[in-house]
Amino acid sequence: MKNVDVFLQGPGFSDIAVLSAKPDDTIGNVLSKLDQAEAKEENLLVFIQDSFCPVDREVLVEELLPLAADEKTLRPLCLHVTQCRKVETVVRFNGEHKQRQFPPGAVVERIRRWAACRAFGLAPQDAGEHVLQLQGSTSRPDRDTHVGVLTDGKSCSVAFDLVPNKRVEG
Amino acid sequence: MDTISPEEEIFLAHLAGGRFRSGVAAGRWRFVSLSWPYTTFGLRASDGVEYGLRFECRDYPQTPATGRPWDIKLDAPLAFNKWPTGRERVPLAFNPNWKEGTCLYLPCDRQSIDGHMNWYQEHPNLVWDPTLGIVHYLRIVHDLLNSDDYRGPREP
Repeated sequence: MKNVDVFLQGPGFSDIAVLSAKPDDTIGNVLSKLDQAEAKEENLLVFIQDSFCPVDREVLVEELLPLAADEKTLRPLCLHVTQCRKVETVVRFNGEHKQRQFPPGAVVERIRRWAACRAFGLAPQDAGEHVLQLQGSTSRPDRDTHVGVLTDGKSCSVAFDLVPNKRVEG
Repeated sequence: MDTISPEEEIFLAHLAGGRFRSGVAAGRWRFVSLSWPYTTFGLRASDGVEYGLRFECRDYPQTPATGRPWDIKLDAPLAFNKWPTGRERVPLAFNPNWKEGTCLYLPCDRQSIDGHMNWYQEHPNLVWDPTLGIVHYLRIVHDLLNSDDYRGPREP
């Protein structure tokens, strides 16, 4: 069987780690291939991207993959390793703060949509033109960055500003 | 045997990294060709249209790359009527009248940042980042093509 690409994120990772796994590898086996020693610690929790519950290390890679139309199509598996079970997320907009807990493997785009559409109730067109910026910085994380990456792995919290996309002009 | 330059080696390392490969896996962009220092990528817009971008990457990654819309089938500059457009941000970035259509009007572009020192203050998140290299440029353009500002090709 074909190998599966596993994309792994976590606090302290400088880039998304890419590992190759056999469909019948356990998650524990996959993590043992990592270069980052800290990510191999047994007490770390492993999450599927955007999922609320951690997975057991004995689970097989193929058991976590979305079912494709045929057995030849294998989509990559996106995982997150962390000590945080949830990430307390605060978003500030126009001096107002909204707070919500997200799983550490939640992508930034999911949080942006929650903040713009639900929390602050922006009109759809305005919501699409606002992005998340880490408070106290000019950093705007990629849409597929896991929110847990933006923590220090221990405090389990992140604070953003919801800011408009400015036009680039002379 | 051909040897590759240190700058091309760094470029290839960026393509082997997780940021680039996860974008490929998500269908956001794909690598098309490389003939150093020129390289071409395809980027998927929200309406499913794929736009080619051809970059010139000399002195990579310390010097920003410069990129122009590219017709992948013809391996030639993209006709202006096929360039993407939109409400505000997209037509400003994809402006055929800027530098005769040889680059995008964005802070991450080598030709465009020249003479725009104010952009370092006004758009720090859009300025070329040598540690991310071409992936950062691709991400910026992909975000534009998947924003609510985007309205499709100039002449569908």
